[in-house]
Amino acid sequence: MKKLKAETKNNLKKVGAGVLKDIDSGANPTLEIPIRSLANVKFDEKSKMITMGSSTAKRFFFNVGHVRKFVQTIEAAALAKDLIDVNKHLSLREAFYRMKRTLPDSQINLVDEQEESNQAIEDLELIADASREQLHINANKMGSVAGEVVIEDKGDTVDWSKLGSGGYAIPSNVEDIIFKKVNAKFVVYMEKAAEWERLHEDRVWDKLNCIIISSQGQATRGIRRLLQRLHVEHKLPIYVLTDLDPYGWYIYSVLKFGSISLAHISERLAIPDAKLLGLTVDDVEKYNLKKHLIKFEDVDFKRLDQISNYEWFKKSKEWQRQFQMMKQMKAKAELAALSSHGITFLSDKYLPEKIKNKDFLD
Amino acid sequence: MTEAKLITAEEMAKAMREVSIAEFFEKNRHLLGYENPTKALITIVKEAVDNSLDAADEAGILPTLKVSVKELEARTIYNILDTNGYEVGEVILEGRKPMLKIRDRYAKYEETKKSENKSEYIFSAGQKIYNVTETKTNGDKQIELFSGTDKLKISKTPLGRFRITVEDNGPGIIPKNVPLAFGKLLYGSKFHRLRQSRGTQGIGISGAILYSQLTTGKTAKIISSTEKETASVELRIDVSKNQAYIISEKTEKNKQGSTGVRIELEAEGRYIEGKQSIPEFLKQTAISNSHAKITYDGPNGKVSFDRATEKLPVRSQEIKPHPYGVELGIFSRMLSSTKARNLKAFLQNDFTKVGPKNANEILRLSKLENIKPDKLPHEDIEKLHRAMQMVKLPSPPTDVLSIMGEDLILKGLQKELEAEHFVAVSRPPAVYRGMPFAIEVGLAYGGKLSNDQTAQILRFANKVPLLYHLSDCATAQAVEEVDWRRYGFTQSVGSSPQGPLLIFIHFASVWVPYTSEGKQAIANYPEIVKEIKLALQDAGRKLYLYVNEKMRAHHVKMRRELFEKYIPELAESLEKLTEVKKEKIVEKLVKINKKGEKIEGGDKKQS
Repeated sequence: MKKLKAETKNNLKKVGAGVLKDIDSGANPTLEIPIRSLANVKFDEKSKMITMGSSTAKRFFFNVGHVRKFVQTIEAAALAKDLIDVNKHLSLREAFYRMKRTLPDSQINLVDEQEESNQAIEDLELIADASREQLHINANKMGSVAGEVVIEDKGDTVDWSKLGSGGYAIPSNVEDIIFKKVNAKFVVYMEKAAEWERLHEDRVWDKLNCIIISSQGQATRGIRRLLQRLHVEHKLPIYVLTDLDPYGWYIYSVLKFGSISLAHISERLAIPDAKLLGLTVDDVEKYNLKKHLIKFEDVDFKRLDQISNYEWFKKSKEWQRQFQMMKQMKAKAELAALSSHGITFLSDKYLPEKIKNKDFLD
Repeated sequence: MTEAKLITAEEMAKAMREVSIAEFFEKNRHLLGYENPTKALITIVKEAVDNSLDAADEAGILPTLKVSVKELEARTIYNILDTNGYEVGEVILEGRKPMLKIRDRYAKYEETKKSENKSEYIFSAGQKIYNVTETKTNGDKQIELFSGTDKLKISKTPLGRFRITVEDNGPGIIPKNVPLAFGKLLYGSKFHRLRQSRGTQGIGISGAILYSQLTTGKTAKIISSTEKETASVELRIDVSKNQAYIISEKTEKNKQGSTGVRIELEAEGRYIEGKQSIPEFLKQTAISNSHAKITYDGPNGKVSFDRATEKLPVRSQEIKPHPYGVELGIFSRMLSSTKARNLKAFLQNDFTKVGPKNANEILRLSKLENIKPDKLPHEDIEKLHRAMQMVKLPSPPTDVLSIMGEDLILKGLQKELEAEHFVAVSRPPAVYRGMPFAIEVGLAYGGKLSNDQTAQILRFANKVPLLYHLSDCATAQAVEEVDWRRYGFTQSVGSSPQGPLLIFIHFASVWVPYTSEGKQAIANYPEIVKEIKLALQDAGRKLYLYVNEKMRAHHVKMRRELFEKYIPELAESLEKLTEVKKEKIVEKLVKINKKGEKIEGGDKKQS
């Protein structure tokens, strides 16, 4: 661990030294950054993950269009080095506020929105070849987990089955967690906290002998890494519950194959064996959800178009069938719709039935 | 039921009579530019100034003009508005007798009830009673108008009576002609000829006198000095006879020796300053006539517009029509009234730029015999007309027009406008409907010109400023059709450019195709619009050399300043990463910044 830290620090110093070398020779200071866009990612058939291509872009300091991002990236590097030196961690939000300031005698803020500092940090991960966690910058805690699992986290022993109604809050850095006991047959991940609370209240993790994990919307890196570790280290199947809409399916896609912007760390986050439990378009018929359909808006059509064209979905006949049906249905549905058949329908009927029948999408 | 009375044609004929031109214009004064009190004042000054400048140019004298407008008495007119805000009548309380007019009918004034701060005027019209209450609070008058219990909307127009005097140093008018020149509409030397001049129709100054007498009842006072005699005439226009009615007339030897005409009128109107005003008209006149000295003594003080050159403009010359574009109707009239004995002679003598060779060619193409022109059968007139258009002819003579020239356009603009750069383009003459015309354009850029408004257009026809009806004018169409973005300005589709720009356009021709008698807009013949566009594009390219250089310099400066802001930030971060002192890094970065855009990886140069 210490060795890794020294290496990260060294990498950061190298970034600074490279820029300094340009300055000393009187040239335009340059950073070479791998391009993070759809054009520069590939779907690797073998590993079934999105991986990054080799295209890079040069970012110059003396260029009106580049200067801002250039300085933001170097600023992020200096911040990360500071953090490693004092061995403290900052959240993305805190990092944003550390970087946000107005340049003297101007109307220019070094960063205006958190999205800018987030991107600078993501760029830095690529240049310095270190993950955000290695740079001592964490995301906010956003997810909960419950199950018959005992872990050690920073010297504390935590039992995930004895944490009351809130469950264990998943930290953004799960690398240092040590699993002491894992008694579960599978993991159910859901994008909504409301459904998690339902399952937790009904003690589904106890009844079905599983682990339940939720995020709020898109899964954070910490959640994705935790899911991957449970899957790889403890051979637990991962089942995913999302709303029946293109956005929900996109969350599933990121979880399974990795995302475009984080393609460089897919092998540490993606879970190619993850399965979608629901909702599927077939569920609408099967569970009589027609009354609860919500009409599509323009953005939904756009998003559906986008994901149905992803290379990794293109080859799946089953997925194309789902896309086609959704396009015709011109509507979406939420997980909460299931509760129309009774408050505990999800816990008592839907989930057990689906898992028993292996009724899921790959 | 009463029996309908039949009216015979004879009876109808009795009711018909010839309407004199003066009478016609009394009823249609809007056609002459007197449709509202503001415009009326401007028109009076314009007509007098046009005449003075024309006379001086023709006599070869450097014009010196004195214009004076003095307010004699101020009144307020209250316009009565309908629910849509349209004017339907007016109320005047000051002056001789309170007056209320609504829907072209004068109401009968009944009485005024006065109390301390309030006066109530009562009018009647048929069954209706109108009440006007005037209240005074701190010297401010407020009025309300009621028709029964209905309150009517009103708006306020300050109106005054003005004395307008225009004096020139021209050759003067001989005493015998003074009543004709001033007291008769459609009299003048300019109507029947093809020659570039300011006035054309012989209506202008007598129209002004007519307006003066309609609104004030006062006479016009004219003093005209030729080298020999000085005539002082006081006259009014006899509307039904279209001739001058002389009040007094005195002719004596010219004692001081200076020549010129002085006219004094009294008229009702509204005086304003600003975009469409007398000072603006005079300022623009000074731009297009930089050889003239004009002093103006207005209600708000004196202004003087000085000469920028002592050189007289080229004198315009009278020409015969050019065969291209002569309309068939005019052509057949020319055929029947010509003195030429045969068609060949007619073509050579009555047209410009037609020699024996070309006359033969026209006859050959039309397959006509060389007969007497008035013997030409109707169907052959068209043949001849068509043949004329097919022969290649030289352009009309260029020296008949009195153009300003690029040098004088620049001088005129420079002396009256505070801008930082000027360009001018004088196009060679072209032809529309057989009339030679020339387009001249000037552009003023930067300085005190407003950055975020659409460009102002100054339009001139034979050196006379056009202040009204911009949107009907060929010049506006041409300005809108030019792509100004090429020359560094912003422009939305189908509108004028935006930026610190002023566009000067001069249309010079032996005949100006105005869209109406008000003479405020040039008709948009395709040939004219095309020429204006070419001139504007030419001038735009010239200006762009300057604008581009300026924008580039600005861009380089902005760019350098932007990097200067980021340099300390970068240096500080780099110090943390490398432990090299930030001052050293700043120093080196500042040095690189001075290299500007040429550095590798810098932004691409703007095209």
